[in-house]
Amino acid sequence: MTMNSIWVIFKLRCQVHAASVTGPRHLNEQQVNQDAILRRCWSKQWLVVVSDGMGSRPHADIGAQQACLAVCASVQRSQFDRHERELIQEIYQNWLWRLSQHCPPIQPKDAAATCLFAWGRHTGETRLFQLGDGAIFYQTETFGKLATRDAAQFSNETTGLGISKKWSDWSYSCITLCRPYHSIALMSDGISDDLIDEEGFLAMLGKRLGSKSPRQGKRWMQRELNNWRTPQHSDDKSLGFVCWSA
Amino acid sequence: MAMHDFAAATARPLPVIILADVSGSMTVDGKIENLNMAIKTMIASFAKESRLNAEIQVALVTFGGECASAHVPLTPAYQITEVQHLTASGGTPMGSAFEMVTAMVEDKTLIPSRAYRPTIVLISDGWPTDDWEAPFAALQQSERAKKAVRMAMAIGSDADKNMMKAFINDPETPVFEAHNSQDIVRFFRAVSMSVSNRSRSTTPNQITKIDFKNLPDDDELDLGDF
Repeated sequence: MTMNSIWVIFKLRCQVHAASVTGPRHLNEQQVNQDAILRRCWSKQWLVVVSDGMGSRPHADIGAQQACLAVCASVQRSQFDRHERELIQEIYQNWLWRLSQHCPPIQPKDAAATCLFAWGRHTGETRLFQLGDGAIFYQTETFGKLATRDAAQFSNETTGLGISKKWSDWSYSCITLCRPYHSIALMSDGISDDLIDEEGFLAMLGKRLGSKSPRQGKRWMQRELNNWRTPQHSDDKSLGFVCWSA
Repeated sequence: MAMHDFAAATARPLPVIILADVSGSMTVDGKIENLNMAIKTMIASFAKESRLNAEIQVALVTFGGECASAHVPLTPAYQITEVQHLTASGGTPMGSAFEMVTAMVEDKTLIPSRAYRPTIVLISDGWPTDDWEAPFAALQQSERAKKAVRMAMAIGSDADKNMMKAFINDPETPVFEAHNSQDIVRFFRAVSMSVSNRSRSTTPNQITKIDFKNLPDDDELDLGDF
């Protein structure tokens, strides 16, 4: 470990923010939010999960909630360097098990949901995973996006838990956050499909959330997501944001 | 700066691309006049549509003479104030129209990934006079264009109905056969209803089958699913 990285570890702090709001369509139809989000910070690790339950499925909300819990449970049982395919297999099995324990049991296809998560150490190493639409953007030394949607897709064409059984449908990457304002944003397609400047969006989140507590950050994010600009936007919206600040 | 500054200021597009035959044979029996009227009525109905979850955009590609042309480029329906009158002459360069529509759907700057699946409507009264097989195969194999909803109307008994049947990608949707001027209007009314229903739907990518046999006539009120 170099002197520089020791400085980074002791001088920088990792902030994790998350918020989810019900979209206008579900509010009008008096339905629940079919997105779910989970934020956890432990002494040496953190986790953010975003899941978007597929609207046409009857138990999409439960599928999304259980996806978040399944990721959390599997991550807590795993070493950080666990092989990615093994980890995903355990998460998927855990999600299926949770649906089977529901009363009455839920068929996976009836609870299909996307699954996006970022799992990091406080030393800056971070693992990114994504199945289905939505997006994960990150700013390290350069701006990047986890390779996701098939370029030939149109809006609302997606895959997820309960639909795909293929490891090859997952996107995976490992990055390192090591400087102030290095950051990651995970979001459901209700946000990512309408973004016009992804890099600027990430930079703006860093500036606006960098000085906020998790509770303040959540309130600000909820207010912003409820005032989404795009005309006729209807989707639920979920956003997780991780940033390193001095 | 806030999130507001980074969200698109327009709704997600729902593109509708009309491929209209304007070859010489369309001058017979008032077909071109009826087509003109039906297209204008359809665009006007899209423009008036207010219960939208998507922004309906329309392009009109005509094929007659030597090659196809973009008579109306892809434009939000409410912004189309006037459609220049279609005139019919020459051959039926349908292959050229297939090339043009494939290029339009593949162009992500024109139809972004946030758009819903486009609808392509083919209207013809005759047999193609250019090499159409290769452009048609390219359309069917194109990653994005093959996902479009494809509908077809054959005007009169001379149209190449087998080719038009192959054009449609829903095996349960037949080729609509127009035998008179009212049929042309009825077909466009059905297309308008299908697109409007999708644009109001909470799942605009989901396609509902069109029952051509039970289309409402002029006297019927638009009461949704009632």
